[in-house]
Amino acid sequence: MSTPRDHRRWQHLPGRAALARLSGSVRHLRVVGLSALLGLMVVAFFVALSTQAVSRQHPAAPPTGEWVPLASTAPADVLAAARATTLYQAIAGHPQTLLGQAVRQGTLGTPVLVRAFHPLPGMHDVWVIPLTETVVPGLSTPGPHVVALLDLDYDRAKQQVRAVSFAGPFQPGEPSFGKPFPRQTQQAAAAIFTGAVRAPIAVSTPLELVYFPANIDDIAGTHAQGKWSGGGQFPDLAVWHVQSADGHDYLVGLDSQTYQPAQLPWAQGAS
Amino acid sequence: MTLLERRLLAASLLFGILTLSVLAGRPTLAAPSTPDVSGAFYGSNESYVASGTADWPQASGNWCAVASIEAVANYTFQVQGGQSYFPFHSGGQQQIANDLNSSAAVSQWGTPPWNGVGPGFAADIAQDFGTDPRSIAWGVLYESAAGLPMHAHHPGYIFPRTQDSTYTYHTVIYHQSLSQTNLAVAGMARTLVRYGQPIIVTIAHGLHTVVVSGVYASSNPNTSFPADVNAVNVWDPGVGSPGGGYQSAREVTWSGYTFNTSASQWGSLYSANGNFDPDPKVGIYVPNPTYPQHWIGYRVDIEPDAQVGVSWDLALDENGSVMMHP
Repeated sequence: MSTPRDHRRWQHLPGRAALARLSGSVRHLRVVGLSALLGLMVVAFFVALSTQAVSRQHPAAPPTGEWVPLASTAPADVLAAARATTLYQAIAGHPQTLLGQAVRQGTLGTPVLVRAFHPLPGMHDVWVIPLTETVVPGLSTPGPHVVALLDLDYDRAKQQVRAVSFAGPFQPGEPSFGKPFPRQTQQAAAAIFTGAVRAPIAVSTPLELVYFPANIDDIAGTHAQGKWSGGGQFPDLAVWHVQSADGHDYLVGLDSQTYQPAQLPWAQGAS
Repeated sequence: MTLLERRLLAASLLFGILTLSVLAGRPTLAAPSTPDVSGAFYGSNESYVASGTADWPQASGNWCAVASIEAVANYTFQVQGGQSYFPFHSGGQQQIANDLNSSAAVSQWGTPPWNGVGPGFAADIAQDFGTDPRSIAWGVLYESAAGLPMHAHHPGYIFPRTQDSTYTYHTVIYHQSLSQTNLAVAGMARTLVRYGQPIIVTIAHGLHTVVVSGVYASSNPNTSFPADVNAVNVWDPGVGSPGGGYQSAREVTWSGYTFNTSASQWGSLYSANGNFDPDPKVGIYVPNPTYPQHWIGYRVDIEPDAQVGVSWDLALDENGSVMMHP
């Protein structure tokens, strides 16, 4: 056990002085080394920054589809993700287009989830966000009125969304002008179903809005084979899916008709 | 370790983390990622397009191109006389259909014989159920302000106000593959900027015809080809017709990704669609063993250009060169 006196004595030994000098040199070297490391990191940081700036000036040519993280499915988070998409920002930032003007004048409403019914690979559920305006020329009823619909693909597994389209502003004379979204209320769809099918609705399966993989060529093409007015071929034309208590699926069309899956104009490979 | 050394080490670590986050594209200390506003809108005056489509939707099942011609033709007059100055109002599509069936519309190679499916119009060079690209090119030229000199003038006829045109229209065939759709879209966007008027585009593998009024791009599509097109504004004359359209509303702004990949837009190539949309049956574009396809297998639109000395019967390739074979 050393005493303070021993310690002072030890400090005055010639070898200890050399060790102290050596220790000082090592400490000095450590400071120099750490300073050099810091300098290197600072340089690397600014090089990385400048590289990123250059790559932003020369974006890759082919668009790849831009996914935006979704914090949660709460309306505010879906709206935040929607506003973060390039499509929305581009439109909102350029009011010389009709839709750009509508975005400036309107308000994004509550996002509505539209499920993909019997989806083909690559089809997603879609968040449909109505854009509303209080006063719309040509509409005398009190607002707000839906003037456009923003669609976002929803990747549930990765909790992310991708802007697909922004439809509108709806013009007088076109089917969506002055119409709400969804076109039918859940209550109205349930009433139509009950009146047509005369079967109870499954308590365990709530009504949900759906769209389905449709053969658009057969519906709308120059050589359309059949007339389809039921809707559901696009998320913006979402229809209500109803399951009866005995487990059968039905869709309540925009034409107020009730359809079984076999009656839908499916795309090739879907059913 | 001294206080100074600890601070140096901490600062080094901090810059190291920042560097890694920049390289990974995820700013660690920044707000949640939001993309930059990408460029600007390039294209036509959409208020004019909205006014000029007063006669929409398409009046008949195979008149999507007729209605598209109507919209673009109206636009060319609106540019000169204002938003409400255009020739085709209610009934305009019928007039255009009549013109497409007139002797003036017939190509220098004639009209192919009827095969039970087509031609749908005298202006066709294919036995198409409706309008083929050549007939659309003739139709939009004839009906637009650029085509006024082609019209027969009767005594008492008064020219609408118009200026001498320095442009015409041709079919443009983009030969790029599906993986290079962005180049075709960039070509279309370049013309939008050069001529400042909407463009007639065949979509859905040739089954349908729409009008593109503009694009959003991160750079000027004319001066920085190929521009990175982020979104495309599409006007569909089918919306509101009994069969509906290929989109939910008359005007839809499609993300560039969707427009380029959806089979209902430009994510598919012109095809025969059974025998409803075949390649030409008369003229220099009839496929042969050396060139087995003309429109089929590519993307096709009808664009304005300055080659006023080149017949409207002829097609241009993606470089603006006149095609002398399929």
